[in-house]
Formats: sequence, C-alpha cells, structure tokens
Amino acid sequence: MPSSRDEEFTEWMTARQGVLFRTAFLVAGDKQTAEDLVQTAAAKLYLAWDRVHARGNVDAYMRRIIINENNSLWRRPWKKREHVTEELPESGYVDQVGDPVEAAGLWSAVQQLPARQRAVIVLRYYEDLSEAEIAETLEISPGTVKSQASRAMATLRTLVGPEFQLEEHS
Amino acid sequence: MNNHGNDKLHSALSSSSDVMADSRLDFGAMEKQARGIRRRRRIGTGVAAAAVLAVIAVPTTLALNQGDDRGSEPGPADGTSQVPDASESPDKGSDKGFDKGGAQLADDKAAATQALEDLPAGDAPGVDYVYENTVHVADGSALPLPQTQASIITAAGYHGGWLVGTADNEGINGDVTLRQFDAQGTEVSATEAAGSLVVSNDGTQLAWWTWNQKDKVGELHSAGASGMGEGDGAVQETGKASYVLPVGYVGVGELVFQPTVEGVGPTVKVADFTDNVRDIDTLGSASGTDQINNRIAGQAPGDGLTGRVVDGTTGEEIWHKDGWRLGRFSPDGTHLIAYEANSPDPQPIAILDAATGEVVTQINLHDEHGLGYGDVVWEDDDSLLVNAYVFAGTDAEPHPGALLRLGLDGDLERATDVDPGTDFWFFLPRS
Repeated sequence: MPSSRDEEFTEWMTARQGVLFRTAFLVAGDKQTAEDLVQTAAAKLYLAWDRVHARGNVDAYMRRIIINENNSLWRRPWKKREHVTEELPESGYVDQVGDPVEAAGLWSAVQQLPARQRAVIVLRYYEDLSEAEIAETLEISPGTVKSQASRAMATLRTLVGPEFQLEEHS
Repeated sequence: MNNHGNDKLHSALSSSSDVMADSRLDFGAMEKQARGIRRRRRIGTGVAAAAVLAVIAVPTTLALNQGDDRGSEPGPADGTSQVPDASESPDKGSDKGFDKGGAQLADDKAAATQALEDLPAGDAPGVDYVYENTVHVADGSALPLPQTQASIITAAGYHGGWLVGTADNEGINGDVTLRQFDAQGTEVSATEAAGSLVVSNDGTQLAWWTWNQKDKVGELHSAGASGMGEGDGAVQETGKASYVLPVGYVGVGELVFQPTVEGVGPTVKVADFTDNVRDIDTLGSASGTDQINNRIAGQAPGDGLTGRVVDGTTGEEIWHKDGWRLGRFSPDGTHLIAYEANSPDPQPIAILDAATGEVVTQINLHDEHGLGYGDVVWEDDDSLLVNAYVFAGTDAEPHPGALLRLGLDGDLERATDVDPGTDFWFFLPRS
C-alpha cells in the first residue's frame, strides 16, 4: 500500500504535470526534451518531497529544477547535434488575440533567446510570475531579473519588429 | 495599461505549448530514475567521507607538476578501477551491433554501446582525470576529491588542497562556483568563476578567473612557480569584461585570455600580470597556446569558421585554415587538435601539423562509431584522449561512455572500461 508521502506526491504531480510539461517545453523548445526535463525534475522532487513540501514551495522548486536541468543540458555533448531550420515551428491552437502566423513568429523569436532570458520571459509572460517570484525561482536578484527581461525584450523587438511592445508588470 | 503585446506573447506561448497537452508523467520510469539518483548520491557521499582522511596525502602540486612527463609514454593506471580488460571484450563481429554501419550506430543505442565495448582495449589513461569523484593520477594511484553538495565539473590541486569548480553557480558572470579546499578537505572560499583552469607548459603555473559580485569586478589569477602553498599568486583585473576565459600561457608566464564585454563580444588578450595587457586583434577567439614556440591557436574574427595560428607576441598570422575550428596544441607544440567547423555537432576530430595546418589524421566519431564526445585532450605528444559517449538516446537516459585514445596514426582504442552512463569523466587541467 502506498504511503501517505507517496500519495501526496502522486496527487500533486498528477494535478500539476500539465503546466509543468508546458513550462518545460517553453524553456527547452522541443517535446522530447521537455518530457525528459519533467521526469528528471519529478525524480528529484520525489527524493526531496518531505523537505520541499513542508516548506510549501513545491511549484518554485519544480520550476527551478526544470530550468537548471535545461541549462545544464546545453553543456552535454549528445545534446549539441542540432540543425538550424528556417521553417517556423507548427503552431497549434491560437486564441483570438493573435493570428497563427504572428504567434508562430513570436514563438520562433522566443526560442532564439539565450536560455536564461528565455526562462525569465516564460516565467513572466506565460506563468505570470512577479519579478520577486522569478528571482526566487531562479535564485537570482530582482535586478538581474529586470536586466535579463530588458535584454530579452530588446532582442524580441529586433526579431519581431519595433512595433512589438511589452508592458512590464511587477 | 496597454498589455496587447503581453497578451500576444502569452497567447503565442500558450498555443505553442499545446504540443504537450497529451504528455503524461510515467511514474514508474520516474521512480526508477529517482532510485538511480539516490544510488549515485550514496556513492558520492561514501567517496567524499573518505576524502576527509585521504586528502591530507594530496601532494602539493598533484595536478600541476606534469612538466617532466611530457613526451614520455603513458604508463598503465595500475590499481585504478579503469584499467580495461581486453579479455572481457566480446569477439568482434559476433554481435549484431558490430556489423552495423556508423550511421546506423548513431541511432541505435544498444548497437553503439556494443561497438564501444568492442573497440580494442589499450593502456589506462596517461593523464590525471576524475571519475566517480576520485582523481585517477597518471601514475596509477587514486585520490578522493573533497566533499561538495553540487556536481564537480573541474578541479586542480592548489595550495596543498584543491580548487574545485561545481555546477551550482546561479550568477550571471561565471558558469561555476569555484571552491577552494585546504589539505584537510575544509572549504575555505567559494566564488563565482569561469569553469576553465589552465596550466603552464612546465606545469608550475595555474590560472583561473573569478567574478567578485560585491565589487563588480573580474580577476584573473595566476599562481606563480613557487607560489603553491606560499601565497595567492598574481592577479590581473579584467575591467569591463563580464566573463573571461583563461586560455593558456605563452612566453615567460604571460597568460592568454578571452574576455567578453557585453555588446562587444569576445576578444583575445595577453597579460603579463604587471598590468601590461596587449590585444591579439588577429583572433576573435582563442583555444590553445604553444608556450614552446610562442603561438596561439583560435578563430579569425568574423564568422568563426576560419582557424588561425598566430605569433604569441605580435599576433601576426602564421597560417590559417578555412572551415576548421582549432583546439589545443600538443605538449611539444608539433600538432594541434582541430574540428570540421561546417559539420553538425559532434564534429569530426582531426590532428593537424601545427607548423602547416595539414591534416595528419581525422576521425568522425558520430558517423563511424555512433558516438558523441566532450573533452578532447592530449595524453602525450602522440595521442589524444577523447571523453566519448554513445550518442543515441534521450537526455533522461544514461549514455554509456568511455575514454578513447586516438593516435597520430589514426588508431582508435578504449583507454577505460565502458561506463553505463551513471557517472562521467573529466580531465584535470594541463596545457
């Protein structure tokens, strides 16, 4: 019979895995890597469940592990055999805010950001975290969050066009 | 507040991540991976505990005083767990994997692993390297590294103890946390740093770069010839550079380094540690130095696809080679590691004549053996050691690997047993 610890972990992962897979995909850029990232992060969370759960910061812990694992993947030799493609990635459902072509262009631009900048953008504009929450997640200062976001926005404007503007929110 | 751009971005991110809508965690695979992580941690803890006792015996210049063995034949690493046993290798061609072509091996993990096992087994590595948190010294002895909570990715003997780079840096400048341990295995300092430690040709000088977050300044350090245990050596501040890579020594203790300034990109400079710093404008990046012949190898400014060797003092070009990325010089300066820059990673590895740039031998580990690789270092004047891994498989899977030896004659052999992919190697720094 599973222990209450295992039940708690399974219940949490089952409830949260959807958003975790999406976040992992947005920082990693491909489905297979995203699934690997979530599995590795979940394994580490499983081992640290008592400590992390007791502190009540499971979401931040998982985001941090996913992003750190993704950053370390770039240093692994078998991850490097990648080919640049000029084709935009296929886009799925797009809501009424933008058209599919524009959304695909934005996603393509986000993928070209350096890993840390991309993480800040995903956490801010997808997960809707505050600067303080991003700083806590990435274990960097709020000033660094701000500077990374600023650089990322400048790059996105260069790639997408000067008319593309993002509103900072705290 | 006009959040239209924000909404568009959120929408684009949301729709793009729809590809994950059907993904579900495999709890069984996750638990298996968790057991593997726990097992490795236990192994690491055991080794580290032993280190507290054994590190006292670390010789002062363990990783540094390698000058005398340059050019000599590497001896077998008796007493280490890495000595390959040729008798354990299955008969060549007796398995399904060995008959597979290299292109197929790159997609077939089992076959590539078997082909790696089937490579001829040679002598143990003739350099100092780390495996399972243990330093395997070229003379065959083994020493444990000090205990750290984070993964160790580089290390060098220093002041009778260690400088250890760990992969837990969260700063924006360095890519490692550089920790100094004393002879008793006690951590005495930790700072943000670059994960590159370089050693002079005679093995008596060690250089590294740190970032002082409090004062917002970077510092190049070079421990002098008699400074091991007697002081912190010379220091050169690195100005506006946000990240600096020490590359190697030229001349009499001059350090070639590659500073990166935000908005400018990398450049190549040489410091003599008396505040004299000169530019090497003929290189956009540097990869190796030849202290004997006072030469620097790297890439020409521009698209990075032209390898160039220049004079270490004047920066004047000696030769260049289009479509090649250059690496390190051999200890005697006669050969140079190079990679085909126009090929996808993992790129073919070549050994060039350092005087002319002509290819002496070349190997495509991916296409011919289904392997990727990490570090490539000179074992001696006549052979390379390559930290190779089976390429096929996902990031979540272990990738079996081994240290391979490539000779000037193009012969390839295994220098260690095949690791199942639960641990990894790295080489201690040498010039």
